[in-house]
Amino acid sequence: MISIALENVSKSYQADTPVVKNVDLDIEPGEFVVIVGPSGCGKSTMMRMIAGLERISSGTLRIGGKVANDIPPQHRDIAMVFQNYALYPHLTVAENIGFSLEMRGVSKTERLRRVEVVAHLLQLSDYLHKKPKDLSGGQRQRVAMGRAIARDAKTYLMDEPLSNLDAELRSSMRAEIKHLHRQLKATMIYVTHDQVEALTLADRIAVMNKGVLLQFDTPEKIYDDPASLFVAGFIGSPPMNFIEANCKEGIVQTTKEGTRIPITCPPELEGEDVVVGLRPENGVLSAGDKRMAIEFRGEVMLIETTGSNRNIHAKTATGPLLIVAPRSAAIGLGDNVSIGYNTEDAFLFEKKTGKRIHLS
Amino acid sequence: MIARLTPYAMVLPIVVFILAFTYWPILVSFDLSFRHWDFMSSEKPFVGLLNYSELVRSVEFWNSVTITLIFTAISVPLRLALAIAIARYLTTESKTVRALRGAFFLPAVTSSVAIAVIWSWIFSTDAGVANALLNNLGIAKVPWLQTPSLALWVIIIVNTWKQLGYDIVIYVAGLQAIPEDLYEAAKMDGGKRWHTFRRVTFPLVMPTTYFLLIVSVIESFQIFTIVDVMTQGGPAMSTDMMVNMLYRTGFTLFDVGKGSALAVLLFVFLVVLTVLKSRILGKRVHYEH
Amino acid sequence: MTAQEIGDYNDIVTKLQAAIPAKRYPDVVLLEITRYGLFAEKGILENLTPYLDKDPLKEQLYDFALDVGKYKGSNYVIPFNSSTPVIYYNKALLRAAGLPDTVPLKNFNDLLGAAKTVQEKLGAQGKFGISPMGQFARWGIVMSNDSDLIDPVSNDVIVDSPKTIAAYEWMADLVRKYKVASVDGITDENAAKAQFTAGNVAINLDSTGVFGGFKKALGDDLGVAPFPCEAVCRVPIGGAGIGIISMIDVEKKKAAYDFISYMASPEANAIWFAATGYLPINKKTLDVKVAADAANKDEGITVSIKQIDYARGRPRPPVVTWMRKMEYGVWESVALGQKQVPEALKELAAQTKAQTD
Ligand SMILES: Nc1ncnc2c1ncn2[C@@H]1O[C@H](COP(=O)(O)OP(=O)(O)O)[C@@H](O)[C@H]1O
Ligand SMILES: [Mg+2]
Repeated sequence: MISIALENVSKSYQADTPVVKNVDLDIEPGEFVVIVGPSGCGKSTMMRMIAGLERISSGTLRIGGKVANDIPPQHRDIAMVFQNYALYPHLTVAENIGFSLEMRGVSKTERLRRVEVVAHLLQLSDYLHKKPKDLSGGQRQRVAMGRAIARDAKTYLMDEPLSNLDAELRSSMRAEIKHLHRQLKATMIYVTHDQVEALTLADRIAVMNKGVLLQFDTPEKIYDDPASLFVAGFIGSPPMNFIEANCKEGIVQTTKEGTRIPITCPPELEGEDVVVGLRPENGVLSAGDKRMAIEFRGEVMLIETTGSNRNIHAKTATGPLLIVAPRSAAIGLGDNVSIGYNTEDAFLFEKKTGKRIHLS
Repeated sequence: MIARLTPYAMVLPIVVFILAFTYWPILVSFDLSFRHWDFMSSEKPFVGLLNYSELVRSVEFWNSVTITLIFTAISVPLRLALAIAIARYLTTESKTVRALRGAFFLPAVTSSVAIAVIWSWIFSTDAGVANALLNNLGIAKVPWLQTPSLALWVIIIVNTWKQLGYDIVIYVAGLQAIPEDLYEAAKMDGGKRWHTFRRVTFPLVMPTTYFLLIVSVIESFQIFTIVDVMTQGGPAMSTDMMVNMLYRTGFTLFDVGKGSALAVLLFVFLVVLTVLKSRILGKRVHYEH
Repeated sequence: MTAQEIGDYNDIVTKLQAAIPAKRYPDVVLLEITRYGLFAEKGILENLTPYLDKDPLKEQLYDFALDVGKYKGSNYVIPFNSSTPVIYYNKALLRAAGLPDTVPLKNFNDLLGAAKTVQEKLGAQGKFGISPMGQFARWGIVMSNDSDLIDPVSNDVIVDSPKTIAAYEWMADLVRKYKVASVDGITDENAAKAQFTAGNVAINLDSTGVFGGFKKALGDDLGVAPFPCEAVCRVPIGGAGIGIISMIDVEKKKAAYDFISYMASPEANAIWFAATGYLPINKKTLDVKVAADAANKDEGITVSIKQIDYARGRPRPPVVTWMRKMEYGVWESVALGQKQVPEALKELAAQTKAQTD
């Protein structure tokens, strides 16, 4: 367990086009941090800078409080799981798992013992003498994990370790990783573009976009209290509804008929365009009579059943709106519905900057 | 019918070409190896295995076999070791690296005669650059090409210098096929340079190494021009390779029969090696990534 | 007519020999003067005696020129360029070593003495007393010691005779014992020439044929002296002669002979003689102005002409070709001290005899 801190860290491959910009990130010892963001936003680059595989263009990296910018990867006591596993094709599973031990001069008997423990933990005991090419995707992934954990490092880095697996395996591996983290008691930094993984795994989530760290907080806070339009839209499934509006006379207004959004605007936004965010799962379907503070009228265009719930896609005067409704709700395609929200459920963002505006 | 024959008709010219310029000469040498001939006489009397038996009983033959084997045993590992050591630094794609690769490759496509002449000057005892440099270090003149124990080394150096670029280019291709993340993984795993090379790089370029091994052994057995220009097999036969003996026997001493017998022996040996090559390459050295 | 550049005298033999079974031989060929016997013996070369008998050229040619082209009593080649070995020396180097330009170089001892002096005085500057002998000069040294490689009369192999051995001992000693010659010239005759023209060697025994080239390189510093007379005054005749391939048709043969005859005419020979230093082969050559001018001006040419009196054609049975090829390796091994002279020459003699049987 060790702390990792990035202070004003930037990275550019070519001058003047930074791919990571002024990132500050404080990771507590033993914490499970997930870096999430769309593909190409600089997640891997961040992780590779922490690993030491990429030079830091500016800023400071501290590991356990000590400046680590110039410490070579093998001396950072960090293990890493690569996105496409990077298994050594000519070595057996056992040799792959034991590789770091071999490199560090651990005796053969001790190596075998550790390999067996790890293999047992990851259910690889039956495959120790196979080569990677004879394994399934999930098994390879586990070998990659095994190779990292055999070492007992203070920090583990995982770059989209599950992205090559099918959905079922992904969810079972998620649980295993969470379990591993508790067992290893090590600091973990995990990169993914999948917000579900982020929400389920992380102690804290770092949301990135275009090389900028937008918010770093617990999953709950990120979900309940997104700092920006981007975070709000990226985290949560199905994604948040956004309605474009305008601040007029201290009130959020749309020009569209059949829509009521009685939210007060702060005075400094008078005349500005804003965006109202509404989570699908907070919306309430009503046949018409039950009055709620925020209300839309619309027509049901598509119904998706997700099992326990249904996703209702409706067409309203302000554009499409998606809500999650219980299966019990009696609703059919083409029905005219009214969709209601409480004002507390609404998020307000400044359109120009994407900044969250806290409602009093 | 015509449609069926068309493909055969299309390969016919090249087949004829290969038959005429590869297989026919081989058959002729085979035949001549059982005869006595000096190029000019109209008779070529059949002498059975006499040429072969004379050959294997001659000191000259075993000398050239030994020299060729020593030459091969030293120069092949030397070439491959140097090539892979250098190739490791030439796998990236930049202007400088490409220029360096080109520079290393240049001798491989330069005429052997030109190379041999230049190196003869360099290693000339009293007027050569090599000795001039040594002289600056206070080392007395070394008669490189006049000392039996040194002349072979000079040949090895010159041949290595010439062939190295080819080996490097092949190794670069082999090394580039190794995914970068394997090196990164090894780095994270604490692999020191040498360990990583031994446990990751070297096993993964094994197919390339096998290929180069066979090719360079075959090449070594065929060395001729550099020796012919620089030492003509001397001094005291210390650099007399099999092909140089073959040339001397057949084309300067006009013992066509014995020369052909030597050619046949060399040919058989190289065929064995080539078969071995396809066997080994077929079997041992394939990895999937 | 097309000319083909082939390479040195050895290469010509190789190429011609290989060209015969392929029926790709030329009409006329220039062959080194000891190496055409092989082809004459096999009937590859046309007998030129009938042509010569009808040609006024026969009367104009020097006796030696007719003689060297004869094999078993008939003419097979007519000399084109003929040469004898002479002593070349670098006057500047001799002076620098404290020797007069006119230092006597009449026998082996004179040569060795001068070479030693130069080596002593200038060796530290990378200069050498003398060049190791090339094959032509080696043969000359052997003849000067009143011996030969093959007996010119009986065609017996005498390369292991005491006098021949003594001559080789002396030549090898220049390198291995007295160290007054560079080893580079042993394995590479051209290197010896190059060191002399570069002004790094004081004395060089070589063919008159290289006079032009040496003169160009050294200018007035070049001195020429007659070949040393150790036991006798005798020098070998070298160079090459032109012959006609016997398999071509009659018309071509006639034309070919006309060509050869022209090349030996005073006019053609004079140009060649003046430009190189090869001997005149036609008695009237020196009447032509360019030749006369050259002969008066250059001591090198005078020296070579004077030597004609005691120049000899060398024996040329077919085995000579083979023997000369083997001799290179023998010389290398004795001069570099890898083998003793008597042992090496006895081996060569035995092999040569075996080859004739
Ligand atoms: N070696 C490199 N050279 C130049 N640009 C790179 C390099 N690696 C990544 N990039 C660029 O940096 C940006 C961030 O990449 P990356 O960190 O891999 O994104 P992510 O992992 O979030 O998908 C991308 O625009 C990518 O094209
Ligand atoms: Mg990535």
